[in-house]
Parts: sequence; structure tokens; C-alpha cells
Amino acid sequence: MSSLLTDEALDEVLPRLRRFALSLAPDPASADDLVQSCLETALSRAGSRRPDGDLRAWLFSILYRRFLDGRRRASRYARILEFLGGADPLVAPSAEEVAMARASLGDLGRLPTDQQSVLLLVSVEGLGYQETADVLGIPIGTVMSRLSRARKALRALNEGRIVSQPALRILK
Amino acid sequence: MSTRTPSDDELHAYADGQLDPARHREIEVYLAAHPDAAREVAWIRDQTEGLQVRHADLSPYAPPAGQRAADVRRAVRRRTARRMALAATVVLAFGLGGLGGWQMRETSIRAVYLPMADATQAYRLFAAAAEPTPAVDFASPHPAELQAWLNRHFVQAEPIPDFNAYGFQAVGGRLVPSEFGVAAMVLYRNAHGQSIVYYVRPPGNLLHFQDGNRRDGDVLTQYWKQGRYFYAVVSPADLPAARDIQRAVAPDA
Repeated sequence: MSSLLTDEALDEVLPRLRRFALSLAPDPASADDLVQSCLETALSRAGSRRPDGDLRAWLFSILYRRFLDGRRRASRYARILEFLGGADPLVAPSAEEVAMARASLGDLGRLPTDQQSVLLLVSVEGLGYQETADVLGIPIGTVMSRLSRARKALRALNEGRIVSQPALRILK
Repeated sequence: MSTRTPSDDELHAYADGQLDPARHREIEVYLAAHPDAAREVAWIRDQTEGLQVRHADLSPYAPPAGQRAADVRRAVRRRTARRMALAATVVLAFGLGGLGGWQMRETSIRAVYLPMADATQAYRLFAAAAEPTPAVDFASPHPAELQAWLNRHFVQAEPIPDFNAYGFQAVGGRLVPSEFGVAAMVLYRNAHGQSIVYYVRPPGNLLHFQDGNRRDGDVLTQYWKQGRYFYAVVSPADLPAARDIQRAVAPDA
């Protein structure tokens, strides 16, 4: 119901949405674009929202779709440019920008994007596995295996080690 | 203990509280007997807690100017309005195009067929010539006699008009061929030798005929349908003497 989509409710989710976008996008400007297009999509089809659905998970899933769309477009664009001249005109975000984005995400920012997303959604945002699977559009089993890998990678990072294999073997 | 050994994934799910209650209890029991697995779970929970503490502060993610919900909602509404306007423009353009096309069709039909053009031509051929004695088949200044002549060729033709009051005298009648059959014209002249033609002809196979008038150069043709024939009065367009007749033939013209 669109009546549930009040500005107050949206504003409350906005910082979380922005954090999720920062974990996905290569630089803060792209993250802002992502949030903007997510909000616009949400507001222009507010009627399609299930009244009992969790607003946060719903917005996350829209944002993630927009992210995937954008990445697909970008890679298509890059392929075309490569085909046309081999030049790489895609302006890479400055190292400073990337560093800033990564710094705000702290330790999470050093993980691969896939692992970052599950950890952010499950551990930080506290979404259930099924919700996370819905947001990312992947099977729940994939969520679980990614989560396990992400946790081990993070632990290895925090212990100052490079991850190469599971840090702990479970003894039967 | 008959408990299934929990998988790595299950330990994570247990730590996250994502298992169904029955399995959750089973693993609880299992953990009590397996300190290694219990340590793993404790470690997972520690990490989660640590992450939540480190990321509890949302202030770095405050939305930038113009990206609060109200701003975006306004932008969306503006864009929707713009799109509606664009759609309306497109509809209007198509509408105008269609209407214009229809008009063109009408115009082109009229261009192909000029109603009562034969009357106009008959006038140009026989009446406009400044001959003192126009070539007529049946010469008579009396409308009654001309009417009798006309009735020999047409069935229930309308009465021949009398333009005497306007200074135009009947001169005579003449039959002319037309593509719709034999047509008849009655010629009137005034003292200055200016001519007016009254023209009668069968309708032919025309289905759509509307009363009206048309100006071709200096000649005005007024035409109408009455009973089984088409009629026309052809007169000089800019002749003041003919103005009253034109008005009498078509009061609203």
C-alpha cells in the first residue's frame, strides 16, 4: 500500500540504503545515483508493494536490481567501446573516493562485493536468510555458503592473515 | 546421541537464529557435547556483534541534499507531469495529423470532382461570349414558353426562375451534353449584354452531393439538388447587378 510509503518511513531507511549502495558501487557518486534511482523506482510504483512486506528488504531488493542493471549496461558499453577502439574511457573513480567509501564501511569494505553484501544484510542489518536471498535474487543455499565464506574471510582479515582456506575446521 | 552432525552452514544458521525450532534444539544439545562446534558458534556470534557495534553509527550515511524522500517524491511527480504533458503532445500531434489528413482527403476529393463544373463550362462556352445573338435552340423571352420547352426534356423540373425584376431577361434555352446525360441551360441577359445561366441536369451516379457554391475565376456557380435533378445558377462573380440574384438564389451565400 502506498499509504505505508510515507516520507518518514523512507527517510528512516535512507541511511541504510545508502550504506548498502556504498558497499556495491565503485564510488560515492555512483552510490548516490543508485539510491536516487532506487527511490524513484520505489515511489513511482509504490502501489506494487505488499502491505505486509518489510520496507527495508523491499528497498534493498530494488536497489540491488538497479545495481545489476547498471553493471550490465556498463559492461555492455565497455564491450562496445572495446570493439570500437580498444580505448577505455570509463573514468575510474579516484583512489581517494574509493578509499573514503571503503573507510566508511571499515573492515567490510575489504571483502569482495558478494561477501560484503551478505554480511551487511545478515549480520549488520539482521535480515533473515530468505529475505537476503530475495534481495540478492539468489538461492538461500548460496546465501548460506557465501555467508560462511565471508565470515571466515573477515576473520582472517582481522587477524592480519590472507585467507586461502577455511580458518577453522569443524571436528566431528 | 542420534543427532545428525550439524554442517558448517547449519552452525551459521544456528548462530543467526535462522533454524526451525526443532533443529535449533537439536543443535543446542549437540553443542553442549561438542566444545569445538560451540566455540565456532560463539565466534560467529562475536563477529556479528562486533560488526553491529562497529556499524551502529548511521550518521556517515545521512542522505545528501536533495535526496530525502520528499525531494525525490517531488522530482518523480514533476517527471510524471512532464511525461503526461509529452504524451498529451504526442496524442495532439497524431490528432492534428489525422485531422489534417482527413481534411486533405476531402480537399483532394473536391479537387478531383468539382460539383457542377459542367454548368460553369456551359456558361463560359455559350454565355460569356459577347456575341449579340447567343446560340440558343429555343429562343423566347417568356419563362412560360421556356418552361414548356424544358418540360419536353425533363420530368417535373422546377419552375424556371424569373430574373426580370433584377434586369435580366430570358433569351432562350439550349440543350448541352454532359457526362451525366442531357443538360439544359437557360440564358438570361441584361441591357448591358451580361449573362446569367440557369442550368438543369440529371444527377448521374453521384451519391454525395451537397448544396453549395464555388467561384472559378470571375464566375460564381451556385448549385443545389431538388427533386430528381441538380440545378445551378452561374453568374459573373463580381458583377454588382448579379449580386441580388446570387443572394436570391442562396440567401445565406
